[in-house]
Amino acid sequence: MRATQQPDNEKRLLLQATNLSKRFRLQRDRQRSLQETFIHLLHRRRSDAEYFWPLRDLSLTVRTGDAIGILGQNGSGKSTLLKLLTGVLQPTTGEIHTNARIASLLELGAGFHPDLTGRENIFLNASIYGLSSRFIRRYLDSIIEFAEIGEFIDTPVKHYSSGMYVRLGFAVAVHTQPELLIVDEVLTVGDQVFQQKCMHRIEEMLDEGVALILVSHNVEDIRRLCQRAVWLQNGRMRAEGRALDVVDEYLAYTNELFYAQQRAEIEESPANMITAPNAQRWGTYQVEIVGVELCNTKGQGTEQFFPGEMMRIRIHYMAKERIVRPTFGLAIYRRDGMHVNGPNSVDEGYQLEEIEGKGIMEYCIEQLPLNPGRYELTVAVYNHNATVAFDHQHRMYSFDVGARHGRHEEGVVHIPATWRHISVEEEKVVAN
Amino acid sequence: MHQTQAQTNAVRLPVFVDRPRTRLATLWRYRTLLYNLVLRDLKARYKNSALGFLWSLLNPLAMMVIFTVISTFLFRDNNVPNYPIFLLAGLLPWNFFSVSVMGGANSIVANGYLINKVYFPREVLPIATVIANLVNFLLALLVLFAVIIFFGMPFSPWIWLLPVVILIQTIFTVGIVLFLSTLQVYYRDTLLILDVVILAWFFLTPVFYPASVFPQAFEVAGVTVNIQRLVYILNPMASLVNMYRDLLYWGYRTDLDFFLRTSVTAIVIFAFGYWFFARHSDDFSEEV
Repeated sequence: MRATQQPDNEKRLLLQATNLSKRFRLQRDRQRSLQETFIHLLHRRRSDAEYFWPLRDLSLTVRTGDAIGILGQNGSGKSTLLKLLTGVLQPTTGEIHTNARIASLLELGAGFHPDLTGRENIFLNASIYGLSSRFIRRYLDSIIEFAEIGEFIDTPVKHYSSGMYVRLGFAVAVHTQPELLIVDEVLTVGDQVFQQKCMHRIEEMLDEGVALILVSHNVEDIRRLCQRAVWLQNGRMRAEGRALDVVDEYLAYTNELFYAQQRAEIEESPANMITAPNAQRWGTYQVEIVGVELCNTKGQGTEQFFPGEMMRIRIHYMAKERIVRPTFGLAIYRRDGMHVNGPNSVDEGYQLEEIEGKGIMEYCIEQLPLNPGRYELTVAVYNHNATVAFDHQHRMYSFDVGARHGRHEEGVVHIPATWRHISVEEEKVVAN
Repeated sequence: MHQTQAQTNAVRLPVFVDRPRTRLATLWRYRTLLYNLVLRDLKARYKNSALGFLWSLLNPLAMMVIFTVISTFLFRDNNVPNYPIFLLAGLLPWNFFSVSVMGGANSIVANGYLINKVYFPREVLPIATVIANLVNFLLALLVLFAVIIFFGMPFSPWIWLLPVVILIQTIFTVGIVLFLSTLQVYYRDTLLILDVVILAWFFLTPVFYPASVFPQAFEVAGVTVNIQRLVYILNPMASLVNMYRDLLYWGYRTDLDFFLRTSVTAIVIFAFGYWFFARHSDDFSEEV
């Protein structure tokens, strides 16, 4: 949570959007020629079927210091909403009132001309945001410094790396002294170091009372930066509220959707396909993993865990024949592909003599050491020396580790450890 | 034109606090953008050429040579004294017009990626194209002055009217360009048709020949028409070229009725072009 938590009536109203709807005509990218137009004039019929509404009845109020996250799958209306808020599109119905300076990071480096130098492009780009020459000159040095372009500032931007290009674009956008910053997925560009810098700058601006509207597929960014969140689905507001709650709700929904797809795919593939490899699942299926159950401390099945909680992974299997000394294994991945661990039962000294028929193998994590984020699980049963897969299900299950209170630790794992301060004198004593 | 005519009561969204009331005031606030776009146009045009902006001077000289050579074959009997000056006084304004129209008509579509991402008053794009070409035209006029001096012709005492004529032409051109750039958004055929129209227009305008080649009295279906006068009335560019020539070549003050009629035409075209543009510009981001 941010420090700028004033009561609502003390915060200045920056933007008020009421019942925004936007209607588009379908097949818009089909270029109309004069010929078609004449035909169109002759058959002048128009039905509602030709239109679609990427956004319907959306209302949004932004005050100083607000940080609002916008969640939703592709095509849910996020981009349309941002374009309406920045004035690029006009709403079909509804109203937008604003008296704020808005800077949008929809497209960094908009209007950069490849043949012009970085410096010339700063003037061009900043004037697209409506800034005066005097204003731009005042912040020129600061922009160049922030962008870390160095001596290349007087080189045509066509010679820039994509990173430099984006850095310069970001530097101009954040120097426009906005009261409301609209950010769309841009935090995924540039290298790690610059991403950190952007994030830091955005946090600084938030502390200064700048309002933020953030669209991101990375729910972690929304958890971290926003107090409020809006979940859009098919152009309508599906949920609105505290960012942590909306993110959890959204994740639960997408997880469910993900599983439904997975199940549908598994049902589609015929059962007697023995070794046909599948991107997600392969094996001889002499032993089949029929289900995986994730249980929390209370023993309830869930996909939502919290750091430090108990997590039991129960692998339900069905051995179609007698299997001697099988190996059970699993692996946890972060959603972005980072491999967290990959234990198996044999290596950890757990020998099963034989299995046949139904059974359950349990892997119990006493205190979940994972930091908040979205994870995926691989489960597998192999033969005794782990050379033949009976059933390998690669990253087919996912679960979510939630954040309990606002800010949380960076990285994948939380290593249980203790802090202690040692003064110089103490260390000498120890050394002697 | 297809416009989504729903109950649009939305408030135009500004980027800055002091929201201006009118469109022209918005344009004024974005004058820095206009200036930078003109600069971008001019810089980008000559950035990678060895001679750079010298081309603005060389181009009219080269054209002058070509047309002078050709015209000696074309109009052997109709000998115009000091033909290079006569030609440049018509060709330079014509080039300003035609290059502006061709570039300006495409300016909205060509900058579609910008229109889709950022809000700014869209008219800066076509207007910037015209102004960039105006700057080029002014540079080319220097060549004309040099040629006048070279031929030892006196400058007309009415030359102070030249900026007014340039202003009228600029207003006229902006009007045409605002209209055509809007049309081009909806019908991409516009530019293709324009190619042909501009070529025909060029030949119908007394640019490289004197208007006196047209008959003063011509019988059409039993009615006597003054074709020469008709050309001027129907073609504002013919009037403009004539005015330039009066001031730069004939050393004549140019006729007042001519002057007024062309000014009124230019202002009407401008007003219509702007109105048409403003009516549709909110939808540009959906169409480009």
